[in-house]
Amino acid sequence: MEAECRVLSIQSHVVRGYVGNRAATFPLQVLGFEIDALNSVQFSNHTGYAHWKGQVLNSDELHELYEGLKLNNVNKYDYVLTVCDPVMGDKWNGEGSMYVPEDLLPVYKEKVVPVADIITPNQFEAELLSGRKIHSEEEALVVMDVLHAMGPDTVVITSSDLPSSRGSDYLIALGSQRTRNPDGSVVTERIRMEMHKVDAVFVGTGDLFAAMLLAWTHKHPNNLKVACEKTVSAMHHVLQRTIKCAKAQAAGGLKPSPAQLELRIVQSKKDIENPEIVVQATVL
Amino acid sequence: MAGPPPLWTRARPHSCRDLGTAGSPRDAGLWDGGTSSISSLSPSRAPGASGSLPQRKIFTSFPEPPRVDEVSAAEVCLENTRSTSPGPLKDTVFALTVFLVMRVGKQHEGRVQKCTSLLPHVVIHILGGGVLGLERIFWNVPSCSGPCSSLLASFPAPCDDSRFPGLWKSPVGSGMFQSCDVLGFEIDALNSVQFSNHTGYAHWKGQVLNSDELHELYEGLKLNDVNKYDYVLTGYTRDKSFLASVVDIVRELKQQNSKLVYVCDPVMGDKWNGEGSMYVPEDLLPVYKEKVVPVADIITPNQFEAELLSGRKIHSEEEALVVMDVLHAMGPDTVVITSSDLPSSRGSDYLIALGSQRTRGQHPERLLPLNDHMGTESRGSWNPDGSVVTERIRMEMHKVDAVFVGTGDLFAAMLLAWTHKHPNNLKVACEKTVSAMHHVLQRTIKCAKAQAAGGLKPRPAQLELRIVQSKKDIENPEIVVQATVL
Repeated sequence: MEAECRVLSIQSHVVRGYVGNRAATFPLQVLGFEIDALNSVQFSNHTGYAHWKGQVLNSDELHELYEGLKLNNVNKYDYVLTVCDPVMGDKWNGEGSMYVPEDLLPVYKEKVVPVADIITPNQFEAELLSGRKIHSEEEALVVMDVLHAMGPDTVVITSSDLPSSRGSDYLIALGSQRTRNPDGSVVTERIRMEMHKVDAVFVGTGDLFAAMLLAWTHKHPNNLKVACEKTVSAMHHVLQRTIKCAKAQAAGGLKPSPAQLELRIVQSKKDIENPEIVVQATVL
Repeated sequence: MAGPPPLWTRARPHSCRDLGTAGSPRDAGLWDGGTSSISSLSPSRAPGASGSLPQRKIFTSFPEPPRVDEVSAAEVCLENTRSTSPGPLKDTVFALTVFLVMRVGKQHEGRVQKCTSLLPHVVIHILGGGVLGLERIFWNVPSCSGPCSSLLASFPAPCDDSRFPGLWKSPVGSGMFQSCDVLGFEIDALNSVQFSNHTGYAHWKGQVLNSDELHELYEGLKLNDVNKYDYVLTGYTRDKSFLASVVDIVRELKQQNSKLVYVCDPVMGDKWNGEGSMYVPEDLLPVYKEKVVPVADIITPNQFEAELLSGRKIHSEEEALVVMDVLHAMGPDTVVITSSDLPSSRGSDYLIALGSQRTRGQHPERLLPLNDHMGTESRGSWNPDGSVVTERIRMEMHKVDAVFVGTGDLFAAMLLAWTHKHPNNLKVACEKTVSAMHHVLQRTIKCAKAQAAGGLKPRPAQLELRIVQSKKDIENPEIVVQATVL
């Protein structure tokens, strides 16, 4: 009997669609993880739709739920998933903007990132957290070292606008993992990945990425290259399927709606379980 | 076999959501409008067919999910054609396609979206622009040739393909069932409570949704025009007004989709040592009896709940069958008494479960549910020659010496999946459901005993169902129980 790997995932829940816990739970379950989902909100759907309604958990209620687990002595987890995905902002056309209240930034910098082991910021978020801009790959590596120094041993910049040698159709992602050897020396594995862009706005991709990265780094603990190749490949298959299905649904060449762009996670089960590798990570 | 068999039971939207079904604001009644327009086409038996055509479920079964680029623009599925002059297949298909496209196409600005396949393995893809362009025909039936009619006549027995890409949406009233996900269903989970753990533990904490909050969430779905479902699944509810709100939602969803199937687990209580007791407030019983069960299509009571709902005790199998008929008369066409204390011929190690499914008898028109769940509005006709056929089964299930929580929820979810895949075969649907349950429970009790070392009785935490670990058993259960047809 395999040892159970337990994950506590504190993210949002939507009735319909795949963001937050909904994006994390199914993939982690099909990959064999026991995932306990603590829903920080319950909304009808994500906020990219025309309408959304629902309820938000306050911190008392969050504590109450955790208290229940503690009282039963079942608050034993191998992973916590939430801390590692600092959803804060993104860039559109080079302009960064936050999509979570700005007063959260100091909380992330001072409290959250220091206790994180793995973080998956995009370029803008990495810049905010480190306080340094990224204009080149070298600067990105420096920023990742700054982030390492704040706490996490694994940093993946999930997307950037760094130029790719393959052309403007591709975007660059970077990863950096520090491991401490028994003799105290530190080894840092750095990788670069070039991912084909998809011309659509997806919601939940960061959540799905973080969940799958958790799974694959667990299965390949000292091999960021392989873990990222599997994660990114699985993402590719999910996104390809999603955009195809969305375009099919949005007939007549119309732009697909948010409802149609929901990630096709259920349909991509096999790709999630065993992704065909379609991206090579370059070790830097 | 008396009379021609029906060619399909309930019309269902075709497989994948990705092919333009529910969820899209633009799917504008393909299922609602579309299915009814398709179902109004009278299916026919291919002339010259020897014997009867087997019943078909309404979905295509591809060995692999179709590549979506093949279905991107439009896809029309062939149904049995009334082919008076069997010619080359293509002509027949062409003619049918034109007909379907004209009926359905209007709603979609000239481009046909996905609609049901009434014949598994035969799908016509119309690609690209041009309503009349038949660019490709795909067969899953090898070595098919010759005219349409003889092909249809030679069609094999109802397919039992469990690898089916069908995706069905169903909001869940309590709990979230990933088992439905691995079986390919799109499940929208509306959580009625959020607790740290179930109430069998020493402690539990959390928050309960009230019926305003439930309405609010449903409202969000409605505003986005995504309240289109094929199934509704509900379970444990403690609150009378919440339950009443659920019924309102089900009624409305049935207006959105008249073919919607409501699977209801009427969780009220159970028997211990022959004594029954309710673990919900007693004022829920009248709500179940008068409001919930009448709009349900499938119910999964245990013996105690069946007795409560019907108002009659069960002391023998005969009485159980009578009770199931009483429950049918209240609404649902499918009743499964999931456990009872009826004696098993195999000994006290076994417990009896019973199932009963009513279907309208053999008629070429599509089968209608026997009870109209649309409220006062009567839709559909009562076919004059539609006789009622009731399939009844008994299953003997090995008891497991432990108290599990969540088994009823898991059972209802899997029964939904398997009755969907086997709509007129309660025997097979139940065998798969019960077999999968068996594997989950066996794995759970083994793991629990291993965790509770030293022969101690496992605790609730250790007895949590090993659902994740049983993924393969859920996807494709090895059959370990035989249902006896009564």
